[in-house]
Amino acid sequence: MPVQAIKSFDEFKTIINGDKIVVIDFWATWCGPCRMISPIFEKLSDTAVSEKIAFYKVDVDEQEQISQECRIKAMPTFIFFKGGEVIETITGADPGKLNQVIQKLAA
Amino acid sequence: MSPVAETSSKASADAKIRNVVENLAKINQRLGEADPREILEWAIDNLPGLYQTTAFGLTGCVTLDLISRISSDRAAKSGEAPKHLVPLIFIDTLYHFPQTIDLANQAAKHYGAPMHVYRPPGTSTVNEFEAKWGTSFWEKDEETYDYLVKVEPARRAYEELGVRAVFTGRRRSQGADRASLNAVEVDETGLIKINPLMNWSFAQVDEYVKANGVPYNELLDMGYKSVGDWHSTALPGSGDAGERSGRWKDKAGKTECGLHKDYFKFKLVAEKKLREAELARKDEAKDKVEQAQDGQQPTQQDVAPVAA
Repeated sequence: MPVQAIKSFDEFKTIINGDKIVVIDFWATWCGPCRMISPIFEKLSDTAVSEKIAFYKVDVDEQEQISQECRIKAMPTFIFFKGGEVIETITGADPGKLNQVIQKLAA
Repeated sequence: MSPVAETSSKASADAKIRNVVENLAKINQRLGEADPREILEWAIDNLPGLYQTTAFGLTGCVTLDLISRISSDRAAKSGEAPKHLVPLIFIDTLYHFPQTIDLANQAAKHYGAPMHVYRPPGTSTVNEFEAKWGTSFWEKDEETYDYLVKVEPARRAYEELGVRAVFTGRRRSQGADRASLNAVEVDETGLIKINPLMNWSFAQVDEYVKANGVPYNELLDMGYKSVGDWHSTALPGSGDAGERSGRWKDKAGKTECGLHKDYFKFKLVAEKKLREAELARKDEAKDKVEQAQDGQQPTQQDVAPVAA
């Protein structure tokens, strides 16, 4: 499943309060490390883990309200939600760590 | 090909290889101070079953580019259609960075180089691999993982393609046991390994890439020293500085872009200032026009509207 961009704060609220575990990639167009890791995030979204986890992305400049709500301080930041609550956060482009957390949550 | 022709061409290949192995010391003496092109040309002229196995690191890309030049120069000389003289072998572990896969496809196309891709036995996508072996298999059984994604596919490639000789990207200046590299080596399986870049420094490799617009892995610009499977490649900034680390263009660190604490606040303030400056400019312009109209010389001629 391709990674979907979240386009509004309302959409964000709906998504994180759904049944499935959600992971959001908070990225910026001017951020080099984001460019490095987003193809890997996309790749992961195409594997079996997408049955348990829904993959989204948020451009922090376009969606300031979402970014402020989530207190984003550095990019990329990956936040995992379940039932409206944050269950994990990864700051920085660490493909190994990202994969580890995703595999753990999808198990 | 008839069985007789096949046998004799294999026999002739064997003879050529034997000749190289028997004269190794002399060959290495001759090529001791040779530059990459000379070593590559020698290999192309003397070695049957010659392939370039590469993961498209910087030296691999340079080697590919040089082979391309040699190929087109020779074609031009003989008046034949250009043909890339050394085929590529790419071992797709299924866990390469997407950027590496893109580069492999892009480079093969760019150079018109035939590329043979080999994947783990029985599984050609990461989903198939994980269905069979589970996720994060490299953590559970590193040896078997390496065997499945690298060792077995490479061995199968060499067998299926009749590989007798390969290029490596090793260089003497990489130090340790590479400091005494020879141009041509034979490994325990009888495979001939050629090190065309052995006499070049990293700076020379880098310079060649820049001077010739060689396509390379963009991850290298992001500070990665070397680029392997994405789950296990050391991130820039961790461990030794090394040849290529610290090349992030962002100031705020190598794996993330830090935000000022009050980024959004500052952004709002900056945008407000921009708007105010814009309004101030507009007001100024309006004032000027009004001044001009109050009995002063017109500062502008009336211009006929431009046709749409």
